[in-house]
Amino acid sequence: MIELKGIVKRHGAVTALHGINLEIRAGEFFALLGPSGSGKTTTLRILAGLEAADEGRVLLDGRDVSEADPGERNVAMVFQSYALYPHMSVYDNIAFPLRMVGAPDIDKSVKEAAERVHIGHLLERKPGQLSGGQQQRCALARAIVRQPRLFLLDEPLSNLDAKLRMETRVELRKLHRALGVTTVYVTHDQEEAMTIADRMAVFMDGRIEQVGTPVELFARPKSLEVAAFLGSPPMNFFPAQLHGRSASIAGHSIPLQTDYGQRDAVLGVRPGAIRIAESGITARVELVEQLGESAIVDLQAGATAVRARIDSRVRLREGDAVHLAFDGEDVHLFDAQSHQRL
Amino acid sequence: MSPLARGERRFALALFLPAFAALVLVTTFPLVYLLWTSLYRLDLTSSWLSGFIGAGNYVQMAHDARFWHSLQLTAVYTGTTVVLQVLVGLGLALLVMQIPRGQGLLRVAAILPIVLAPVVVGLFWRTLVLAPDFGVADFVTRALGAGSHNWLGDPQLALVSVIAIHTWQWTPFAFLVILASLSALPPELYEAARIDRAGAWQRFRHITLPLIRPAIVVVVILRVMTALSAFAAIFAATGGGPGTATEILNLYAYRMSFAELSIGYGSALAIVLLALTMATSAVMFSLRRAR
Amino acid sequence: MRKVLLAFAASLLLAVWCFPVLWGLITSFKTERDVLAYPPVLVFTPTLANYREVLFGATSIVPNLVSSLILAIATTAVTMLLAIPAAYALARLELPAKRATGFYVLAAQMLPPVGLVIPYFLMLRGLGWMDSYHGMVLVYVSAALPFAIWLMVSYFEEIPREMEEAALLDRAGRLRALLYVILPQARGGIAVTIVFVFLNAWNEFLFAVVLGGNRVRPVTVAMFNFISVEQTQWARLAAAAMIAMAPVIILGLLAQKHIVKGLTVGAVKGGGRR
Repeated sequence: MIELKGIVKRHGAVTALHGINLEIRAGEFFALLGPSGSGKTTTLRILAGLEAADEGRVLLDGRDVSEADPGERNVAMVFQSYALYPHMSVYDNIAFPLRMVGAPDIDKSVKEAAERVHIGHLLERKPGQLSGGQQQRCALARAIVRQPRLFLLDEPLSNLDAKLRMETRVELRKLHRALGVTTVYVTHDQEEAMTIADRMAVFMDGRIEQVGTPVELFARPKSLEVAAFLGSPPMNFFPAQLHGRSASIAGHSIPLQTDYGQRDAVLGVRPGAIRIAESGITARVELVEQLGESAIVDLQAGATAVRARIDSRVRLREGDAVHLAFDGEDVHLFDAQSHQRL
Repeated sequence: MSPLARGERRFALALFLPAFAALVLVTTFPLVYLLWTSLYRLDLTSSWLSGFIGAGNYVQMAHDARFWHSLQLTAVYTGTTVVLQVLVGLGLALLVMQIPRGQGLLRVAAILPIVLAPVVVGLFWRTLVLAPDFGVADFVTRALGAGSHNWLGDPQLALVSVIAIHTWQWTPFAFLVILASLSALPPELYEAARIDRAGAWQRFRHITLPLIRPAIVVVVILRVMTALSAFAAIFAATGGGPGTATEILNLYAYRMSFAELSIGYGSALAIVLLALTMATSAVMFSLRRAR
Repeated sequence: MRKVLLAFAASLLLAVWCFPVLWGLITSFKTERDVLAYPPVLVFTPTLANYREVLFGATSIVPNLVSSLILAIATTAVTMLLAIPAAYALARLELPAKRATGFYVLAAQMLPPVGLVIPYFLMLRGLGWMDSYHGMVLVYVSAALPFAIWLMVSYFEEIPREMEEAALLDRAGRLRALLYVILPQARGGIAVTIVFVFLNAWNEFLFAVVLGGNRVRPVTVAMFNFISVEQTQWARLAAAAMIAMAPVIILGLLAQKHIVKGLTVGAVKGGGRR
């Protein structure tokens, strides 16, 4: 189990992390998700020991490692750039962490690790002679060969092309299941995090906004920011006035399931929850993107831009005037000031 | 500070301190010593006259016509050589960019003067090129009907000659740096400019020049530094003469110290040169940063 | 037409830069009488007499070549041993007062040699180290060390930071990370720096002429003496110069691609940092 307690990190006058508290359970595949500059990579580096926190503690299995060197923490990391040693063969790269501690049976371990990620035939090559995907596997092998207690992955897929990224995602999951090692995975790609992680933490501006399973976060985002960050295309937002069990947006009233009293709010609805209907919010079609089964439609409803995912059999053309409707149960409501979920 | 950072700091110091100690010992300490001796009268020929004279050497300098002359020569020498190197180097680089093949050969040729010892360059020019009657320069002027000249013996010509020697040796440097910078410019830029109907001069003035300006600034800074501390080539070609015709401050400090053996006064001259170098570099770096 | 003009201009350029060296090469095979012929002769009976004389004759430069070699090798070794770790610390590690330290090294690189040679003259004389290898290597290092540090800093900075981070996570520790991961990747930079330091030490003249003597007289000084003592033996001078400059020309050609970087490193650093 990993615990981060009140981690604060400052870079000069800028505070990169404002007191991070996080618990990652043993054996979990945990994603740190957030836009760039949100502090997720810094958190990972503090976990690895590559950077020291200005305040707070890092506990690995109950042991305080805040002041331990990276080498003493028994963690392995796959860097975004892979950081393979260019002057060493694949074999030597994988063997390096074992040689550094004089481990027994190096040869056997290296070959096993290489086989596990299917690069057993490339051991004699230099990293420069490998494709991007092979390099990534080599980095993985170097990380798993030493059977670390914790496995850190910093955007490991971002340098791969789209197809390879999908395949590797699946393989990473399988590898994790086979090894059972706690894994912390940093990504800015919400789709990647949603598909791969057991649980995840969403970072915004040096704070953790929300922690939970992908399904929880998608279904009940705690704040407008999290809601906007998760899902593609992103959630639509309308300024709304709440009157008891109904919300009024752009002159239309939507029934709600709970009584929220009288207040200003932001109403969010995911593109997939929007229907083209006989009556409802009037909007004009700006652009239609065909995806095959469905289509993404850009609309303008008064001053609000809206994106909807609709059945591609519904024929819409640019300039069409349509009506939009959605159900009260698909609506996410956020406080207009604090942006917190109501 | 965390133990992690403390460990790194300790390691860094262990790596850096030996070199730092060496630098203090071999550069800073001699400089302090130089400053100290510049406050003395220290004549190796008449040691009974030696003694502490405070700012005496500097006061003497203010009235020393030879010093002012050498300062003036330093300015002329530095100014002319740097301007010539940049202009010629830039012109050549632009020209060579037009040549599709053979650039490699020119780059190799340009290395040649740079790697030669300046003293050898000075000697070569003094004998094979500039010697009266037997040198190549005289052969050319005589063939052109311009007669024979005492290239290194005539005060005016001697200055021109040492400037030519320095320019010959170091223009390839300007050329190589500017050429490297020109080669790094993206060709799309020029294609775009052509589509925008910019003429050759406009393309040079508004695209090339602003983009290679950093390289030119680097060249100027480094060339000024080299010119200010130029010694061996002049020393080998003219020894500072005839008379004091090519005696830039550097050579004056040397001659005063080691030919006339007035080390105290020589030290003071060297301190002035040092101050001049530092001030020039400070000005140039700050100008560059201000951009 | 344009092409022809360009080609002509380029060849002229080539000629101007190669001429003194080529002319020296030609001269080195002439007899002293052919050297002084007017107009200069291109067709002559080549002779190896000059080379024989400067290598094996009374004015042999072989001892001077040995002197140069000892000085250059010792200077290079001492400089690199100090510069490599220092540059790594400066480029990568948390060093106290890093900016000031970096500036100090840069300033040391700009010192005019004549400002150093005067105090060294007095100091070495006081120590009785004039005309000695250890004394002169000390002086040579003063010029080479700041330059070598800056050049190596720029090479270390090219190596991605993840390299030592990966090594640290791989339990190498800082020292082994440097030895096994960083230094092998800096091999190219180290080689280029060695070439430059060696080349500058080999070409050094001012320090050598003041602080050397009969025992330590590098080839640059020997050539200079050649011309001041025996005014007109140009062919011998040319032969000596050809031998003396062969190593630096070869080194220069080998390091050709890196020369621009090596020569600009001080200015690029000084202005560009932060």
